[in-house]
Amino acid sequence: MNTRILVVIALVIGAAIGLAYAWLIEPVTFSETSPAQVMKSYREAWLIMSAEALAQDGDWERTQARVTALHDPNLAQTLTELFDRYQAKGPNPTARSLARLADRLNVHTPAMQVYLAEIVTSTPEAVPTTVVIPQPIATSTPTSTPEPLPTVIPTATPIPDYQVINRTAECTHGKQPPQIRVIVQDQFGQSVPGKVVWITWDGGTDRFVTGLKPEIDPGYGDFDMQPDQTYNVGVDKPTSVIVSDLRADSCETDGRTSWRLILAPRTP
Amino acid sequence: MRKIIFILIALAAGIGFGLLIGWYVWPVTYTESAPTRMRQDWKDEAIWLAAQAFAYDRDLEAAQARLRPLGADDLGTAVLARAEKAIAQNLATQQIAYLVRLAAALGARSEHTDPYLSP
Repeated sequence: MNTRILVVIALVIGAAIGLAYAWLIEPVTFSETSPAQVMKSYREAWLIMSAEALAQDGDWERTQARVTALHDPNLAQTLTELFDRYQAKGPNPTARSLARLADRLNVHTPAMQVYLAEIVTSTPEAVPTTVVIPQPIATSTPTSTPEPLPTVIPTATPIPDYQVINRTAECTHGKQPPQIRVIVQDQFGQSVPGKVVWITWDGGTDRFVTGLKPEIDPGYGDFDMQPDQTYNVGVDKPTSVIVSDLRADSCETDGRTSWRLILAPRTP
Repeated sequence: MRKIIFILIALAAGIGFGLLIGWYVWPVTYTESAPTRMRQDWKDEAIWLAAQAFAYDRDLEAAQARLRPLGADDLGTAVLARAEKAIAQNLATQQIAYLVRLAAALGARSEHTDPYLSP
C-alpha cells in the first residue's frame, strides 16, 4: 500500500485513540463549576432563594447577578413553571416571592397578578360609622337655655362600586363546607382575577383574592362559611357591602346552603 | 523500516491531536453536576442565599434542604464559618445577622457571632 495512505490511516487511528482517551477514559473534570452547570433541582432552588432574598432585602442589583449566573435562556418559562408549581399548593410566601421576581423581570401571568394584588392591598380600612361633633357651649351670658345636646351626624353610606349580577343558592353535601363562591367580572362580563373580595361578619373580617382557582373560573374565589354566622360580601373594601345576610342554612334535603355570586361594576 | 517509522510518527501525532481536541478544544462538559463541585465563592453565595431565604420564609427544613447539596458534613458549622468569614470581610451587619441566625437555628453559635443574634 502507498506509504502516504498508510500515514493518513495511522493519523486518523491515532486521533481516534486520543479522543477516546480524552473523552471517555480520562476526561477533564472541573471542580470549579458555576450555578449554571449544576443539576436542575439545585438551579431551581437557586432561583427560589434569589426570589426570597429579593423579597427579604430588596437588593435588585445583587438579585440580577444571581439570576444571571444561571445562564438560563428560558428564564421566563422556568420562572413561570416554578411559580405555578408553588402556587398550586395554595397561597405561600415562596410563590409570592417568585411572583415579585417575575414582575421585576417583566414576566406576568394572571395567577401572578393575584399575588401582586395581595401585596398592594394589605391593610383593611377602618369602618366609618358616625361622626359625633360636640357643639360649643356659650359662656359669656348665662341664660336658662338648656345646653344643646351633641349633634350626631350620620355619614352617608358609601355606594358600593359593584353590584350583584346573579345570586344563586346551592346545596353543599358531604364533608365539603358551605361556601360563598364569588366570580368578579368587569363591565364587559369578562372574569377579573386579582380582585380582593371582603367577607365580614359580626366580630370578624376576612378576604380572598379571585383567580387562585383558574380551573373553575379566572375571576373565581371562595370562602368557607360557618353554619351559625351571617356574612356580608364586598369588593376592594370591607366597607363596600354589596351582598348582606348570607347564611349557611340547612337545605331542604341533607346539607347546607352555599351561595354563588356574580359581581360586576355598577353601571352609571 | 522507513515506512514503519512514518506510520508510528503519524499515529503519535494523531494521538496528540486527539488529546488536544478532547482535553482543551472540546472537553467533556458536565451540565448536571453536583453543587459540591461549585467554586468556593459560589458556595459562599449559596450559603448567604439560604440564610436570606430563611429570614424570609422561616422554613428551617427548606434551608437544610438547600444547604445539604453543598456537601458540608455539619450544616450549622458551615453557615457559622460563612458568618465568621462575613465578619472578617466587614460585610453589612444585616447580612451577617442573616447568616448568624440561620447558624443558630441549625444549632451552631460562637462568641464572635452571638452579638448579631439580637435584632
